[in-house]
Amino acid sequence: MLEEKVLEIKGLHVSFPSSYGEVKAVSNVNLDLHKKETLGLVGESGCGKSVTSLSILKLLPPQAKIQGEIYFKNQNILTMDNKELRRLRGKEIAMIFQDPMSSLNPVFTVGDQIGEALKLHQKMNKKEAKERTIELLKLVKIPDPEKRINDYPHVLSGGMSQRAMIAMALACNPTVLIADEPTTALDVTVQAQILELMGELKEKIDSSIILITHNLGVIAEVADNVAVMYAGKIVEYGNKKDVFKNSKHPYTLGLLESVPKRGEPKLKTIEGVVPELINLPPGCSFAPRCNKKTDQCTKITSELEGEYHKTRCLVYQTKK
Amino acid sequence: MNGQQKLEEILLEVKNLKKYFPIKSGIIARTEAFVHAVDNVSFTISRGETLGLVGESGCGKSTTGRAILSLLGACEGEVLFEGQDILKLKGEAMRKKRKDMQLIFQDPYSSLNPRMTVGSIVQEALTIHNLGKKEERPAMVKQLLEEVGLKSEHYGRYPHEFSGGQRQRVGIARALAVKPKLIVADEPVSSLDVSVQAQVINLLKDLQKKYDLSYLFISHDLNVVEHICQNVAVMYLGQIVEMGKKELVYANPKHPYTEALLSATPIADPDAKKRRIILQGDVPSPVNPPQGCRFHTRCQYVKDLCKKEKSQPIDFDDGRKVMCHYPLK
Repeated sequence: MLEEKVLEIKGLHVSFPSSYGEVKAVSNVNLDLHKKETLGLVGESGCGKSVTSLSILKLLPPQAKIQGEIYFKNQNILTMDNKELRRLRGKEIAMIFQDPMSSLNPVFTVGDQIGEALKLHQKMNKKEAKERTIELLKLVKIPDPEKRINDYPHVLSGGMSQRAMIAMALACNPTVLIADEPTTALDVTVQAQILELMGELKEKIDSSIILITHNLGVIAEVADNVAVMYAGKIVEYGNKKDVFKNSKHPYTLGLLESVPKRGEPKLKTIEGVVPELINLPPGCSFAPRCNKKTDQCTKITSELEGEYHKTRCLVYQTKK
Repeated sequence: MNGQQKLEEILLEVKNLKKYFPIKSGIIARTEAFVHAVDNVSFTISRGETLGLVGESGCGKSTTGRAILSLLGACEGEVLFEGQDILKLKGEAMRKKRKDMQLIFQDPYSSLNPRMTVGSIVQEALTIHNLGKKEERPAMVKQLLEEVGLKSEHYGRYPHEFSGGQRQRVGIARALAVKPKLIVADEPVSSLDVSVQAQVINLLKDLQKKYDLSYLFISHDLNVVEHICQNVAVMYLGQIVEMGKKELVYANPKHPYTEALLSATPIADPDAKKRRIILQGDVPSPVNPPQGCRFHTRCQYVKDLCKKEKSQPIDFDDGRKVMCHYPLK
């Protein structure tokens, strides 16, 4: 039934020390990624979605305190040394960043940057790397790849740079591809191009994808499973259809309702603002903004429960 | 909407607005070429109406917004505000006119002075236009802050103490302070999270009802525009390619670009089935826009005529204007 697990995150906690106290960026995140699955990680800014993804590659700054286990092919990434990590990064697990303009190095040509991964991980020589780079640029549908490999990033448009970034990430056929807001900096028509490209590539390369975004529309179009994050915790996790059509957590519901839709006179909103991660409210972190809260919600911390469609909501759990 | 009668009263009329930016190079800074940022744009905004200006980055929507407020210096064309051409106004006369039209900026982080308290930011608008007595102004500001959903005790705080949504509310309070008739809102919600975005959209709608404001709402997000606007103008490479009532444009786009733009917007519903039209390539450079119809390089219905001849705006019976040789059925 289910494909084998390629990545398993168990009890991940990430915190950063600050002069005001400990910032709990991620608390107790458990996620599974199966082969060929696209997992959508959605939430508002500061909810911990990017920190979660960065900890998978151990790219967090040194002062970050990381607890928990991240298993990739039965190896715990968090206990690996730098040498082992280097072998992993870019080869087994690759990443696409949000802003293509600033994530490409301006002083190297696109071809050099893509070829670097090939020479390093696949031990290709210059000529082989060049041929493969051209192939990759063709794969991501960049016109005239033979000429483009000698271009510097500033010559490329936003959409083209993002294609080059994707080519770079795919260079070594990674098992897991992490895409952190890959289309946020792009225009809608270009976003549609990139999303279609990612969909096509998924068929071709059998990688698993973790897609991080704040755009619920993008998730609805590409993800298989969705995890909704709020204030460092996963509040709802399940199949895309279940999460969108049969939301169990009031935050997911609120988020879906605040997306402008046709023919609705007034938007429903979630009152208030996201709590500070230094000073989280007692009990459920969402309770102060929740319209369904009970007295218990502000006292007891709810856990993520459920078999396939999990939710972290006391009200829902007690009702059942 | 504020009733049919009021909608008829035209507040702003823009006629053939053009703004070209020169590209200079060499030691004597010779003008080599022009960026055709806004090319022959015409539209009207009635009192109490919201016109949405949508398009991708670089299509000239922000330049249009700024040109209307006469913030860009020399422009060709006419911008009639209550019948008066504001592009011809100068000095004191222009300053007085600015009271009637205000701007809300996209980025609430860089558009508020970090060294000024929120109270003094809003109050500055009152001081400049000499509104109210000096002693009364702090009370007026506090009332404004409450009106936009902040608290009066926020008066003495600095911008960094607020979240993005709250800062955008400060920006709205500042624009509202001088009781304007027209507000140009340049991507006011695009840097905000969805749940906060909804709060700000609702606030803008409530204020419009209360003060009979007109908005020129500039945005790249078609979902937001559909929600807040009565009329929509779609821009591509400095030109308005389709304009009309929101319901008509969204239900039955007549320009191929509008059609593609609508189909490319992701919908937050996994069951939504739709045909996605993927436009090939990127937006051409506005320095050297394509000959003929400007959209022909990316249009899926392109015919020979489109490559040769410029398209002219066609008026439809339902009040729509479409700039296409072969408008869609």
